[in-house]
Amino acid sequence: MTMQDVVNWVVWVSGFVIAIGVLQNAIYLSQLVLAWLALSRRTVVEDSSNVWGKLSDATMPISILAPAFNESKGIVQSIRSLLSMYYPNFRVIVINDGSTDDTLEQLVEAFRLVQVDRDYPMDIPHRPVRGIYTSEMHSRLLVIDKKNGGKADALNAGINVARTPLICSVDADSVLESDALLRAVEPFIQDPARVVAVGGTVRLANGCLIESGAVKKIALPTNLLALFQVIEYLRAFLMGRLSLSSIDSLLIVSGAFGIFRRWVAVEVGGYSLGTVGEDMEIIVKIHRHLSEKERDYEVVFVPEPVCWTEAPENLSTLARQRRRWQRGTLETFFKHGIMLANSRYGRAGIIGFLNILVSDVIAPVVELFGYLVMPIFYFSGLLSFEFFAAYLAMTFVFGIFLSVGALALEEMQIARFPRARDLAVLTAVAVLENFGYRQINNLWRIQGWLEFLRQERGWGAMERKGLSR
Amino acid sequence: MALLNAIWISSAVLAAASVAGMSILIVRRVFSDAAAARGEKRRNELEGLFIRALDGTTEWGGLALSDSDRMMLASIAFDLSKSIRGGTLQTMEHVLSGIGVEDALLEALSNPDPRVRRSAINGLSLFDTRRSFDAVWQLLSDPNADIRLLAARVIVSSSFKFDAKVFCETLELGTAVRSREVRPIVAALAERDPDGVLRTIRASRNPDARVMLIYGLGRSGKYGMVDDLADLLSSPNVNERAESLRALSVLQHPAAADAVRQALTDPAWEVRAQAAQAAADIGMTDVAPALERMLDDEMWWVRYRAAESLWLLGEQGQRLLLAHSAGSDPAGLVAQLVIAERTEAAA
Repeated sequence: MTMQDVVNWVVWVSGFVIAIGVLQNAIYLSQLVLAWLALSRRTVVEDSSNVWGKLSDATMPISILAPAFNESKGIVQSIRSLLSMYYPNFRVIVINDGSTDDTLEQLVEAFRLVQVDRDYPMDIPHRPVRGIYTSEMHSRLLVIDKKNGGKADALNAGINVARTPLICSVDADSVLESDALLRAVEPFIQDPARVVAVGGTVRLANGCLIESGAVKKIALPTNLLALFQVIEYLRAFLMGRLSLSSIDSLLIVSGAFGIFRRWVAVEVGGYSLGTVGEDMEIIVKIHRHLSEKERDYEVVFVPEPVCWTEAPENLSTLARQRRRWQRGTLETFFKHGIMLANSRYGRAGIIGFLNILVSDVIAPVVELFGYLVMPIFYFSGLLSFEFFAAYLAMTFVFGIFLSVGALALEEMQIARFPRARDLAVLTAVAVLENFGYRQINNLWRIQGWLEFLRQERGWGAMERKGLSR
Repeated sequence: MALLNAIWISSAVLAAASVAGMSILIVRRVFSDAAAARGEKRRNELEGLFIRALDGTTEWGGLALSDSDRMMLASIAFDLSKSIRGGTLQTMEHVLSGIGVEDALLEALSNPDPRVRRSAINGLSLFDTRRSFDAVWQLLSDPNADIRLLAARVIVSSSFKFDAKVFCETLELGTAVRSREVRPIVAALAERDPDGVLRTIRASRNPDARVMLIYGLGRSGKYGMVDDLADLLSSPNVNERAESLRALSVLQHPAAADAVRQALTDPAWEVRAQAAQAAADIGMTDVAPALERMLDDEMWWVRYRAAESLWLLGEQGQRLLLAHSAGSDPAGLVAQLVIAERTEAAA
């Protein structure tokens, strides 16, 4: 091999790394533009009292499914918060998934639960139910006590017991805005024939003042890692999910807050067991099933903030979470690989799956490869300045535009951050996150890839400080 | 090389531009926060003055009002209108007309911002005048669906007469029925002009629109509609038959009994389930044996509704349910479920 061959090889490899970077950033840029268009075209956003006046007569009954496993500490507060939702006709179904602590006892005592005999259709198989309880205090509350089978299995039991046309999956430790259901159910009201699932924006509650299970004051976290995640969530929800929803390609509705038509959840066999990305997998299953049945349907994303969740504030917990997310995405991608670029599955298969292929399957690997080889190529004199500058632009600089762009989108269309100072802090964070945090995050995604290849199954522990005060 | 240069230079320019743009937004926020604080203060002042004007303790004469003040007053009045009645509402309309609020609102109807048009329609709902009615009618063809529906809500609650069929055509009800927001509108429409709604049902070729209008008839509270709704049970459309039964359930008039009895054996399960519910709502105790047979229906929902209706029909129905509850067949299981639900609710 001559020196010229080596240089040619280096140019080809560098060109490939840059091309993937360009492709990935082009996808993000188009998402930013689509999200901008979607937000600017949406109809008037009402305040809470107007939403009630406008929609309360038209809402459909809904069952909120809250799976709980060893949530003894915060379960009572969380369920009280859910019971105080601002919605005309709903039921809260708590599924105690074989907790080994006193979660059930806490519920029995706090809500004066009594065991009842109840028949329900066994539409989806799940682990045996040990008992069903109703509350003497709250007619809206139902508690299912079942053998441990994981979150997906618990949700499946909840779907069976629910007797409402809509079901809403929530995380027992998240905080919903009081009008979250009303706002999120609106797409079902506007287009009852087509809409089968709706996802809402999830935001980070770190730093916010939370009392009695409700966000009383929105504020930024003081922890830098959490601040980085505030920007990430803005990008993921406001830019990514909204844009994909606007072109019928949304492949995920967050497990922390998602509403489904019960019949569609039953038809696809409920949540799949043995996956760590069950929230994404059920949406992909819905796309696949309804496309194969050639039905007209829609999965919608609601941009208004509806659900607040706690972000990890230390590196090890965050790393576990990101590895798990990556693993879940890959599991779903390869399990339903037939949908990739397959016109039978419409835009979900063509745009949604290609987006995953580039952004989640290929890009992390290529980007890591770039971190390793591009500086070596450049400093050994094998690569020109233009190549190296283009690589740096794709890896570090363009991300600033995307993050700040998402923040600008939030401020111009939603404006939930209460103070100008918050915006200044977040702008600085949006710049900073591209230098270090993005690279570490990419490393975790590669670890997730490796875990996927090793077929690891566990969730890993999630350390939380707790939201309620 | 030119392409590579374009990549890094454009990235750098976009990054710098985004930070500069965000800086402008931050400055804008500082000013808008200050303006919002001033607006809040002005609203409080106007609110105080307006309430005193309603009491007759303050005169507006000589007070300089801008168009934004008038819009703000309309918004204050709209909020207040939800909690006041009778003569005070008329006083409010008089006070607002005297200071040019109606004119400002009529002008705002052509504002390109849908939020402004929305506020203007809400404000104009306080003025029961022909010119406000005509102006709001024009918005039944607004490009924004929310605005169209809001205009429709205001029109059906006004005191001016209009043709229900023309209203439905102008609103393009056939395309709007996907929204359940239409329901309270058609209910109000049917309450004020049930015959007009019936004519529209007969003339419409859109099955979704017909179903929505049948829903309205049920909520009209007009017993005179019972025979017409019973006639609609012969429609070939399942949804129309089911909705007609729902409407008869709401009206709860015994004249519907024969039609409901026949619907208990309808080939469509949705209609059978609805007929079972209607039988209980109307109080048709004589159909208990038919409902008992429906406990063996192939559809779970029909069994469930039949069991519920048996319970609601009183002693005879409950005896039949209890007799079935000992079994472990589908009829027994659904009887157990309904008995458990009902006794829990009672406890």
